[in-house]
Amino acid sequence: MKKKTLSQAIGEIDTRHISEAMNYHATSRKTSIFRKPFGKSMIAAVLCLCLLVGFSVFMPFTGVAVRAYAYGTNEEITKTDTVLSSGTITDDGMMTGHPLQFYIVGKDIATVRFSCKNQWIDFVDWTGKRDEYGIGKNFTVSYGSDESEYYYLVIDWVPNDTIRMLTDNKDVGIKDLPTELREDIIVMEITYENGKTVTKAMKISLRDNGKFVASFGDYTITDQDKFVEQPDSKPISRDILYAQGSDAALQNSEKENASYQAALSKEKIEAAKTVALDYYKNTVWQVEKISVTSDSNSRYNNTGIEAEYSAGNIIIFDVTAIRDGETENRIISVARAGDGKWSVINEGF
Amino acid sequence: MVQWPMDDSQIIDLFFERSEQAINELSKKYGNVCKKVSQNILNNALDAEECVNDAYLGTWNSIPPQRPNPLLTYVCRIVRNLSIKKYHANTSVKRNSYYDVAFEELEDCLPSSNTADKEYDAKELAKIIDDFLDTLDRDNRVMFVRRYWFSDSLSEIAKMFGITEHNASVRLSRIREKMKKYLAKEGVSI
Repeated sequence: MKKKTLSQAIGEIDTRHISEAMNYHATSRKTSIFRKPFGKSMIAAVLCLCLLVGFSVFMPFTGVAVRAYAYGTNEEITKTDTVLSSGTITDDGMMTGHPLQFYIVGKDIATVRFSCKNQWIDFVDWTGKRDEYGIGKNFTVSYGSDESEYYYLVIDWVPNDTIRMLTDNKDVGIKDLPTELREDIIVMEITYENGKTVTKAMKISLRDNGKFVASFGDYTITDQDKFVEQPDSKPISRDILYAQGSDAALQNSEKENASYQAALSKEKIEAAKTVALDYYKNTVWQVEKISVTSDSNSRYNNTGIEAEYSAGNIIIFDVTAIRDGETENRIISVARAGDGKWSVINEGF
Repeated sequence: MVQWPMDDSQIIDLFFERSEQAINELSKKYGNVCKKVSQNILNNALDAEECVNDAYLGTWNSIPPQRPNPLLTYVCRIVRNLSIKKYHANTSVKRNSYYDVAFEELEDCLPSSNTADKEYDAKELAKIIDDFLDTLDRDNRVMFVRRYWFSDSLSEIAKMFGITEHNASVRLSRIREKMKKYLAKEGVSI
């Protein structure tokens, strides 16, 4: 009876929790564009893409319409600004949801090359058939002739730089952000199966109220668009990307091997510890014990938070804390940005 | 003709028009997700397919008058309920599905009964679990729901979060411990 009630209760939890879990996208990638070697295949890919770009200049194509939709809500993003309902940001950098995840639909698309100007993009293939890239700026996705799969090829726009600016600078609010942290563009160079090309772009901007708006339409690449000329992230096979403990995974995840503790002097670790202890003074927890966590703690690879800091700029502590007479094991991450000051960037159990 | 999935609202309109195309579109768009939810519970492809088809019929019978939003969650909830019903009814099913494994973990969260505690029914308990989930951060909340609502395997969860299976197991264990304390604090006895 107990089991049945619990099973039924889990089955009846609120729809918002189910939807959240359903629409959750893997964000904890262990790779980034900066960690990829620039090899021959990359050069070949760039040359091929340059050829494609050149081809598109001489043979403009105005064929089959391509449309873009917000993933999750399936709302079409058109030429006019669409307010995105899937994510917002506050003045202190607190992000709810994902501001923009989208997919494109069309016909006979061979590849789409995505280039993001100011922030970052992540590609997720829910069919599991294509390579992924981790979080990057430029990459090319194969679409193929099965248009029913296009829905599952999702681009997640990740405004990490904006979040970091707001979280690291308490005096800076959304209104104070420079244009490059409030506006962004994702250029899409679309190549059809017949070789013809068309260029589209998704423009995103952040409003003062923390809401994001996006528009999607035709685009012409100009000489000023240097971000389009950046090389593609190297594709990472899903087997490698998600492999746990394999050699390949280790090669692709230098951060995992970093020695965080050794990268900091005793004094610096003490300074970080003081910040951590100060943090708990304003909470319900009383710290009983605090110690530096293992370098292999997976939290160092927590994308969007800890993973954004390199060894020497972050340290994580294991904390034994007491609340209401009960002992809890918690964890606190302390990091420092450009100003050299330590601050707590994450805390939890 | 481009074969991209319809908007949910268009699919629901088809249901309202009593067009059988509604089922086709629903299946095309969400069939794989529904099958996975059922398969995780039943560990049997044929049974899972049957449950998903029954869920489509249930959806057909309930729309109209209902106009669920989001549609996917609505259909998945029907699929899950039917799959669990079939799981309990079908005694020949081997107890080796992800649902078994996940649910056995969760059983440990049940506080031992105390006569002073209030007895809760499933709806009341669901509300308390909702409140508990709200105390978690997003990643932990999603991890809990993926494991115990969707019955995802540890390896699937590890992939989703980019962590090791061991790490996923430890994090889930901590969440369960939290839940156990939370339920005890609420005086839950079932």
